[in-house]
Amino acid sequence: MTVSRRDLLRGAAAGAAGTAMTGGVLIGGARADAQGAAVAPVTADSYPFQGPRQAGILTPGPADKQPFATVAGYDVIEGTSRSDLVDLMKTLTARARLLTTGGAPADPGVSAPPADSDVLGPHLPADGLTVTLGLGASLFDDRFGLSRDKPLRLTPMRVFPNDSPDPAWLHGDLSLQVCANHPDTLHHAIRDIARHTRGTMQPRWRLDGYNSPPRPSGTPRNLLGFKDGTANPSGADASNLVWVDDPAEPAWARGGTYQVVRLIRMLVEFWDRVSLDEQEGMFGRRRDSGAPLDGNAEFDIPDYRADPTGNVIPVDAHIRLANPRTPRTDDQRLLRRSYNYDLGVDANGNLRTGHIFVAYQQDLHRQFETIQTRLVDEPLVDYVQPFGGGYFYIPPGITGPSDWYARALLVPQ
Amino acid sequence: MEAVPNLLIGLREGLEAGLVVTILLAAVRQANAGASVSGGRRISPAPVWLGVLGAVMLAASFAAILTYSTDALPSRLQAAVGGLLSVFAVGLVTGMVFWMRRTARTLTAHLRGEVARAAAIGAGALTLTALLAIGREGLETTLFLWTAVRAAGSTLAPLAGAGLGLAAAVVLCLLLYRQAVRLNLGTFFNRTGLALVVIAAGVLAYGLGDLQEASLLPGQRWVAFDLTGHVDPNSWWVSIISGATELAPRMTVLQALAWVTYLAVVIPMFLRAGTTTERATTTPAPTPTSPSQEVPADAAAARPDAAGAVPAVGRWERMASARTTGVAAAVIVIPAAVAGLVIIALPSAGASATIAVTVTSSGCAPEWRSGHTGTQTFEVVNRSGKAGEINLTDASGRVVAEIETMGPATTVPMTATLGLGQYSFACLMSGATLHGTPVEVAGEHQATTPAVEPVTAADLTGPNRSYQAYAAQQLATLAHDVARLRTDAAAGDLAAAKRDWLAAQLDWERVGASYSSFGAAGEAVGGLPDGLPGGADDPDFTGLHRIEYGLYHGESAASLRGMIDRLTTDVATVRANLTGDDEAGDPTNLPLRAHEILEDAQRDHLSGLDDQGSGMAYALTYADTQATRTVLDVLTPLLTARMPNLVPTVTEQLGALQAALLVTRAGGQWQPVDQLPLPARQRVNGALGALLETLSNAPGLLDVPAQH
Repeated sequence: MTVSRRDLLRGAAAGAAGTAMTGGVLIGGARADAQGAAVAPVTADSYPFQGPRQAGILTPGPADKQPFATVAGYDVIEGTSRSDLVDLMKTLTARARLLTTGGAPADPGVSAPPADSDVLGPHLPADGLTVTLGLGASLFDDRFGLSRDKPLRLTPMRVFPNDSPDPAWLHGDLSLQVCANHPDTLHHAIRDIARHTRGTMQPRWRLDGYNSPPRPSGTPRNLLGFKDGTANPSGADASNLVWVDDPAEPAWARGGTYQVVRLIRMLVEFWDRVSLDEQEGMFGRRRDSGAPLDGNAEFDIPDYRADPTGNVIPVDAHIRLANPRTPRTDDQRLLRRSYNYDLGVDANGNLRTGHIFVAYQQDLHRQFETIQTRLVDEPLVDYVQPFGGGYFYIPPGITGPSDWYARALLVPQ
Repeated sequence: MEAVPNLLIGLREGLEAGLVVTILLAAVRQANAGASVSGGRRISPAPVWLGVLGAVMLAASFAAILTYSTDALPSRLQAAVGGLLSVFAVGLVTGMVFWMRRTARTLTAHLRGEVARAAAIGAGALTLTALLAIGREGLETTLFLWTAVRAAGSTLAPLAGAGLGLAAAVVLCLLLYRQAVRLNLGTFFNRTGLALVVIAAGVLAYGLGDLQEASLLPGQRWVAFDLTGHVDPNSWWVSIISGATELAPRMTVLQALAWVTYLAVVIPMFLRAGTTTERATTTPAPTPTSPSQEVPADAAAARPDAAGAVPAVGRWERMASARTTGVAAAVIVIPAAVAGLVIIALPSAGASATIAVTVTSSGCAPEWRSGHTGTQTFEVVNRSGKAGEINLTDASGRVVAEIETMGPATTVPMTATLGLGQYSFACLMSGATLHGTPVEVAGEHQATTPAVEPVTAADLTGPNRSYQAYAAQQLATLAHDVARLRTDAAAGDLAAAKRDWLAAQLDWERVGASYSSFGAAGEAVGGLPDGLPGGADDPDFTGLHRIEYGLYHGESAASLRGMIDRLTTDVATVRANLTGDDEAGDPTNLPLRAHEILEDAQRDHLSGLDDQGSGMAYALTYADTQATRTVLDVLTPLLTARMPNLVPTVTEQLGALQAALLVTRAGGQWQPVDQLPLPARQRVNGALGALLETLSNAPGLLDVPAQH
């Protein structure tokens, strides 16, 4: 077989062009994926139930969080013994395991009512469901002999100046954060969990939330129309701020995290009557792009040192108080995993709507309370009314088929 | 439209395989013609057909493995395997298209040589030759069809298309063999080859998409175009385009570029290969009886795989030479066994596959002959033309699964968890009861759901009489308390009247009929204003709650006399009709009372729905626990025989509920629900909720089948 020089050259050129194109497509694709991760949330069909950490905090993280959530506070009913509490934790684990994994519900036999509501059809989809269980300060009272095992920073949620607390929406022995790709999946999960735990656990409050898609791009907006969560930590940065590793904490609690839930009504009608200038000054960001007032794009970093008097970004702007971006305040940052809520209308005909603020951190004092104290009397307080929620401790994850929630707490090693 | 690509694949691949068979058969016939002239040994064409059968088995086993194995995989791995197989299939098909172009005309001579050689060794060898020649086509067809079905996203239409194509190919081959038609195979393979290249491009794009989904390739988010929001995927023109090309309305840049590049490279190559062999391909296709003398002797060597296959065939041929039966068994059994083993070894996605059984006028699930332990679903088809009930019972006649009402000409799934032992179907169709053949269920030991001994109305008659006696006694007390209410109201003593009303209301709760279960007469005594146009002022609002409303809304005790007189009459009516079907006459309603009395307490009392001002929800709920206790007492023997731990559990939970209710009292007085602290309310709600979950088992355990 003879090959002419011309054929050889042509072949080489075609080979080079093909290689270049393939490489280009692969590199371009990888770059688009990386970029897309920061822009468009991509939810998965399921998240692993077992692991050293509970799911629903960093798996998936705020940028890729499921579009729907229910947050609820529960009480362990009076007269429940410690062994009943253990049974409750085992039941919660079994239900969460089944619901987040999906599959066929158990055969209840010929006499019993159906094992499942069939709201999600005969074969349960996991549908990106995560169930995150938290323990409230009140669980560590003398009922179960747990008072000496309480996480160091766990207290009932403080009432901050400007709060409008409503006892019907506050606290709880337990919290559940349930997130999924569709609202019917949340309904099904909450209903199933209640059905199996009625005798020992009763709800105090519950609020459903939803996450907006990027409008039109970048971080989703809250109901005040501003992109919310732009500066959320991610990756190793987030891990280092969220998971408790303080040796002073009880051993069972290490690898867990503190959860802050704040149910915050937004007075959107009032807000809509405020000039754009004032709105942007209160947040410190452009409303359309999400860029800091001293920048051009959403992810530009505000430079407060260049603007010490607040000429461009007011010194009492929300983003500036919340995260002053100084070395000293760096470890005060926390992970927000918030949702919007809608709850009909109030007696005045205004929308009962707002923000389910959910934050995770390794130290309630150093992080949430420090930031919240700085935010006291910020200009934004006129338009928001925190009325519910609570502090909870998220115990570490379920490590094996026989493990259950808070086992290390209730069965000390 | 999803059927078109597969129709084409089926036709084309089927024709290829069919041609090989045709050529082999013709070669056998020719060899025999030669043998009869020279007086040599005749060879039978049977081994060729055996080879065909083996090839079909091979393809079927491969298809089964593909389907079951990928179904059992998690979705991400499914995408990875599917994607890799798609890309592989595209490579295979592309190679085949070119190979067919090049070697179609030399195939006859090559295969004829193989047949002659194999025939000389023995029938087994001939089978192997046929198997190898056709098996390759079969595997290729299976893989390509499977990937095309995946790309199409639906199963039925593509498979129907493939079946149609294969059938057409068989018919065409038959006609060709009989020389009934002449087909320019060169042109045929040319045209279909081009269409196959287009389909293959679509499969390639789909496969790459799968690999991106599995994160084996980057760029899932780098989208070239996404028309999903702009076009209706169900519109006819979209289904024509996507059906014919296997393209999707949303494609990534990688997919789109791969599609364009594949076509841009392969189509010109294909066309160029066509012009160089134009002369050869336009010659008439080789038909069995037209010997192709013009084929060069070394043409067989041009087929790349043939050269490699010959020595291997030689060794196997010698082994298989005379053992026809063995070979026959082997070609059929081995692929099936391999497929079976692979499928069994996989995590059991198909293990809980449904078992189809039918009910006819003369048979009750005759298809069910053997069973395995564990949870399984029967797909029951009713062809009896009648309505009825289908039961699956264990050896002692207890029901383990049932379809309580099954209409004629319907199919209903029935899930059962079976343990070791004997089970049989019973079909209770209107007028006749048929029994299926008992089936011995084998397998590993398995925890089962409780089997339930059937209950008859007669079983419940005794307990219901006891309940009637109890209710009659409660109604007598009620009549007595209403009389006292009448006296105190007449005396204008409001405080005493309130006390008397509560006593009467609690009597009524203890009857166990508060949830509208005593018909119109019961409503007159215990009804609510809801549903009445005038609400509490409606003249049809009568009875205990109407009197409560008056007592707590400033009406004078004296003004209630008319209402109390009316109540006296209504209570008498209820007492008179107690054993009538509207009230407590039907024994089959008794098991419902076991949970409905307290379901009603939750629905009406604890919600505040029926409170007409007294705030006595907890008092009423407590009375309901007493009524429930009585109903349970009379049902205990029947319940315990079916679920031994039910009554003890209920007893404990009922006690917990009563305790939770009693602690809400202050100074011996019942308190309104909304004046109690949350923990006290949660304790009641929790105790009641847990009890109701347990009680929900009672009606099912004592359910008397409806008469069909």
